[in-house]
Amino acid sequence: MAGSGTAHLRDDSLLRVEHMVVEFPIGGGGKVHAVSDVSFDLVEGETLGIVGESGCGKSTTAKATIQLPRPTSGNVWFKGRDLTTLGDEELRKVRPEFQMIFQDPISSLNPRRTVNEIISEGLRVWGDNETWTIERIDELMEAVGIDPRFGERKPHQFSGGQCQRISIARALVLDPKVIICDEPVSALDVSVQAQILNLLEDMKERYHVSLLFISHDLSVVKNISDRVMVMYMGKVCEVAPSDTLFAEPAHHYTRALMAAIPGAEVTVEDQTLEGELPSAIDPPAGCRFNTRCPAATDECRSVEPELRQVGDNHFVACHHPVSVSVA
Amino acid sequence: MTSGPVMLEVDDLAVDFSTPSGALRAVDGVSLELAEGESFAIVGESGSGKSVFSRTLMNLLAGNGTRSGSIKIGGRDIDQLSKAERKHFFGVEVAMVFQDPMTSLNPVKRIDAQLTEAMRYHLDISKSEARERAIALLKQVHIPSPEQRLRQYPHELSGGMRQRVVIAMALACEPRLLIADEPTTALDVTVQKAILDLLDELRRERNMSMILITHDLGVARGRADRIGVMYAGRLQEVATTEALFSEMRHPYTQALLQSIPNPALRSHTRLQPIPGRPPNLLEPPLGCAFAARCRHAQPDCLNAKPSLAGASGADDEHRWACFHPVGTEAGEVALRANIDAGKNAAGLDMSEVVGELV
Repeated sequence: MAGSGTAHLRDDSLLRVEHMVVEFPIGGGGKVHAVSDVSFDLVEGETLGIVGESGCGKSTTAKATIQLPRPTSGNVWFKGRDLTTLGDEELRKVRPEFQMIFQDPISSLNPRRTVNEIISEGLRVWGDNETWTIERIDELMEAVGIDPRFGERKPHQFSGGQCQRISIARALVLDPKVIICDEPVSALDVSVQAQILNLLEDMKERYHVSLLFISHDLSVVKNISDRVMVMYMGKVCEVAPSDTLFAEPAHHYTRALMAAIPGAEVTVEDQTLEGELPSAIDPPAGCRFNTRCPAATDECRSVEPELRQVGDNHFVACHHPVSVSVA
Repeated sequence: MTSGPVMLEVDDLAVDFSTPSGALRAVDGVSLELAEGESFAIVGESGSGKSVFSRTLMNLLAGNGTRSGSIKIGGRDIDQLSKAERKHFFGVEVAMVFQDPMTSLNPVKRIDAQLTEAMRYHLDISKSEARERAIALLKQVHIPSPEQRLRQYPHELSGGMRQRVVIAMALACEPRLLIADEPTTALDVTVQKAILDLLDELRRERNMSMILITHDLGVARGRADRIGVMYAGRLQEVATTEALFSEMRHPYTQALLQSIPNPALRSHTRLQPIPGRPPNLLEPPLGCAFAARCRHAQPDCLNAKPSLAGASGADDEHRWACFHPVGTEAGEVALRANIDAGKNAAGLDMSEVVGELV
């Protein structure tokens, strides 16, 4: 990929990010091109998975969407408003609609607070003091599978999986529209990972939220996502419904990622990515994947590919995509 | 049971730690035999004792730990080594690759110093010889322009490159047994594949034995000749990789495999988690450690620990530690009985564990 373009955006989206660019200045006048012209959207009740290697900009993309930090350029449309143009106070009022769940469940909870305090903090900041009660907290704890009797305990009295459940309850308490899950199961054992993934699916149904699910683990992303976006060096490679992407990966980078899934019976040829990730300070011209791509041509080294449709809701940013057998 | 000369022989190994909250048995009666050139994977979740086991093989037991049982590496009992022999045994005959390549390298020393240090100490060679060997090693682990890399510090290398350096360090004294403790957990999948490919290649080239410690059954699957599944300090099932996946016997192995998202299945396929948590090893259960979470558990599982044995005895290639194994009549009967009763012998609600099986 390494592509831009907005061909894949839909009209009925809840959240729509257009041409987002995030750059971080470094000494000497250079800058790190963390996210370069990324567009995506999210419809209500959908889970969009974002995969890519570390440093590809997947976390930065999600964080810049909620204006933490504000993107260098681009628009983020949510409920008819462009978040990038909102002032601080207006933005503060929109924030409860977005919540986050982080990778390390234990360090993302305040060790000195009780579980009740942690979960109810959002309500204390945002709710009318009349409308929330301890029953609301109990109901949420019940929903995420923590015994409400443990409300007065502190995070260190729980295991990693339980802490992640508490994080999920905290994220749900304000009835958000979108939850950003940044590698929420990467720090957990496989048996617990399955519990948390199932819980996220249940909570999505029950509380009607959309998820932006970031992970480096393709199997996890496939399981939980409706659609998957593959990123490489701050660009979008491929966007497709989860099953389509895994059945017919069209981008050479997507195929390399799949070939790397350990022990899985996958449909792609065996290949190992040669070389190292190029520098994000001075990314390659043309398609950013051209330095490691088995199919790179001169065109790839000079012209950046745009996202284009190759199948049902299947978009790829590549000049020479692997032909999809059924279209 | 294994072909070729025996490289590693572990007999009834147990490791106890004395902790402020009481005695804890981290490894409980592990016996293992490994042939020359063989690769063996130990799979388990955190706290299963797999890392303690591997560190014990390297004689890296923490001060509050005590070991019983014997370890023979290359035919030599490590307890019989003299002090002088011991000095040039660990790190030479047997070497280890750790999980996190950043913390296993010294951040304030250049790569060449770190790579040549062990060679100079163990092998009694000159500085220039050591340097030549270092360059050759970096080439073997496929690091481009090794002469320049030698002058760099760890922070100048990427995670994958650092892990290659760590592997080169482990190989510096030509070990016959390499222990890789979660060598790729901190790395990206594409880099993980490259590192595992590298370890495979080096093992074959040198006819080295390898123990691969991992929490990921997928990693073990493609890379090991045999796999041992560890839980609560005990090996629960040992089999050739093929047999383990085609005819797994231990309910824990089955549960572990079912809890992993399978990319071959459609998205939103309901996962089958393992309910509950591993037992507290400070107060270990009397019977099978997995019984409380097991869908096959019967009353006898709560009272005695099953020993690791195969269909025809303790010498089989495929062995498991279960009274009611998966895929056998005893197992089917136990599962049926539990489903009919609605709970297993330890009181676990069966609706939590059966899922699509019912």
